[in-house]
Amino acid sequence: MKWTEKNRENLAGYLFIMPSVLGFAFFILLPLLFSLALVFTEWDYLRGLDGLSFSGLANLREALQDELVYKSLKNNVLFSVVSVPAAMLIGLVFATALNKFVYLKSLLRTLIFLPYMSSLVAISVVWRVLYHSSEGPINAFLRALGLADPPGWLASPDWALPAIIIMTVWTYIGYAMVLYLAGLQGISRDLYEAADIDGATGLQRFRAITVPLLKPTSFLIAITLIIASFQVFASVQVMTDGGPMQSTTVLALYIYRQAFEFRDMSYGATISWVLFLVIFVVTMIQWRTQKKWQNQF
Amino acid sequence: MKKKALYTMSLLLAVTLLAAACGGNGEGHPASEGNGGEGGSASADAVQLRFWGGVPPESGPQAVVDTWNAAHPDIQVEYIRFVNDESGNTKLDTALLSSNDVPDLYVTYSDANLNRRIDAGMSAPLDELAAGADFDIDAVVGKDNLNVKDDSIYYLPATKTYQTMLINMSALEAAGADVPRAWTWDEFAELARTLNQPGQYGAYFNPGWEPIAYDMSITADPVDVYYGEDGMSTFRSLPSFREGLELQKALIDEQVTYPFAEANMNKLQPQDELLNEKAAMVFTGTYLIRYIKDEQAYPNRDFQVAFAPVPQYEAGTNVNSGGMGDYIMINPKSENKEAAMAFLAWYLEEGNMELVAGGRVPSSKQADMGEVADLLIGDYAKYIDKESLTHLLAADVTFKQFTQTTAQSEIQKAFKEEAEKYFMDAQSIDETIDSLTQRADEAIAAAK
Repeated sequence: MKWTEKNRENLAGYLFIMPSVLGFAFFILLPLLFSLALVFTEWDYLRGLDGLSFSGLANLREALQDELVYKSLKNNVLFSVVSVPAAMLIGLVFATALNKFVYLKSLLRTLIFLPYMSSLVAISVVWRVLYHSSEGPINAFLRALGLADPPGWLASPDWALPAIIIMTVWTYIGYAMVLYLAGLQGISRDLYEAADIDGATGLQRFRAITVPLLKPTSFLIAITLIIASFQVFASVQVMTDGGPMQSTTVLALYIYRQAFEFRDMSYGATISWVLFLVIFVVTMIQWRTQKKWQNQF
Repeated sequence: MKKKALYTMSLLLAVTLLAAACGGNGEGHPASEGNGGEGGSASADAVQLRFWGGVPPESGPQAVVDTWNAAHPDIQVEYIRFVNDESGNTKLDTALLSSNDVPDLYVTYSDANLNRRIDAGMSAPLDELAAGADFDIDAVVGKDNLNVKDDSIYYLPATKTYQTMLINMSALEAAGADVPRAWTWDEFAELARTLNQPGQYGAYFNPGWEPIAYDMSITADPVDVYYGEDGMSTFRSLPSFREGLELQKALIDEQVTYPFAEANMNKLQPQDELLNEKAAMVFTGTYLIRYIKDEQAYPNRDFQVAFAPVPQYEAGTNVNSGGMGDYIMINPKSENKEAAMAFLAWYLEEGNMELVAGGRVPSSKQADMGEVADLLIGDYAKYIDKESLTHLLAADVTFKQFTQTTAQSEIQKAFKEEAEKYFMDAQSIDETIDSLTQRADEAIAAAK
């Protein structure tokens, strides 16, 4: 092959991106492929690579019959389906209100955004104390309101998942609000003035102008929050560790348990790929529908 | 020319990066021999040992290592702490698998990890090494206290833990009772009911542990309590499992102890419950002494804490569900196994006395338990009933043993989960025993 100018330039280009490509290959691509290989093997990792033995589809078969996988998946779906829309709705309301009112705007915005910035583990520890069924402030407040038998929150199989969802919504609101605030800046005042002249009420303006024009923002928030919410781990591990009676178990927690508590790396990897497939499918659906959303503009 | 300069520069960049990468890899091999030179205070040819353990250095290990290093300039030990949880143990496993900067000695804490590491060949046989170091294993640790595998010893325990019932002496005196010196589980339940009063539960069980039925079953069958002669689970064949679960459920229902969900979700700790006077009796281990001595965390106390032995399944025995712990192992990849053994021998004979004040009772048979009790109590005699503590430590005791640990983590998990359902009225005792047996047997079968 001739050593042309073009080849030389290409080579220079490749050499420049090589450090990053090498880093990606060693620390992301290789582990990724290895975890896929683990799905079809049993690995006694204390023996190093000698501990690998081919097991075919045994791990997948086990996962498909594992009740806890389904239960975790169900909790994951419930978690996302409730927390993401709730956070978006409340975030949108806060953003519109803050966009209008002038007083203490930046202070309020910071306060609402703060939970999203704080360490999730620290927040979870604090909320665990708040949720304490007999001595916690939340139930003390509910009792003061006259509720004789407030929920057991984290101690109750029925309330533990809602309790974690409530806390998660609280952390997501700030994120949704800040993005919506930015989106609101992009809506022209003229539209609102025109609506005013036509005699539209505040609610009508909100529904006919604000919500439709914020669709791209909503799309972005929805995708990022759904992916984040499917990976929920720290809050569950700190607050309930999947209990009581498995009522809050989620896929990420189950993966951790299999891999590091039972030391079954292969089965942990198998469930990780299940989680990946779920997120992948959800994201694909969103991308497909995105085109429809955009056609409206 | 500009292009040429660009090309040369990129090539240079690539070469530099490659060199750096290779340097990073190549550095490791000589490091295991050459690290001594960087040791600073130590002489250039001193042997360097890396000792991995889970106790924070300031709680004793650093003092141990400093004492040794001062007396042995030729063998310098560095203490490296790992956190003894799942990810910390994985980190240790990884370090043991790697080929540079390997740990020379390390501590294993759970029976499951012990057997797993021995099976995987991560621990060197110690018999010859001990003989070479003039260390008499039988005289110091006692061969009866060790699981021997293929006629070899692969670990040496540095400490022993006594499980014990800690009792608030004021509550005990108010009820007109004495500290139990030997008792059964029924007598324990009786005392718990007597001590129960508004604002203070009669008894507390650690919600993070297996239910009390585990300890009760160990007092019925101290060796391999989870495994029957056929190798399968014992939840059905040992009646003590059912009786223990029923006992704990009865105490919960009578409100003699915490509602299970509340204790579990709030992760109630024995030290808080006992020392804040929320529970009159807590079932725990001797290592809890360090909290009893902590005046800052638990100020304004006017009561002593007494130590009662583990209640027994049948009167007359003294089985303890504690046992040997802090299993020290030598890495077969270590290049200084003899030096590591010399340090280990000294550690077991006298070095680990530095850890007593932190609540770790030495495993050595030669240790003077009166002296150990004095060290455990230290300057805090007003908080600790010395008589009952000395009695606990000096009594002739049978420790629990696990010679097999097939699927033990899974069995423990199943035990906790199924008991939780029973305690929270989600299933009957029969269903609990059935699903426990099924889950444990399946886990054992899958692991074999």
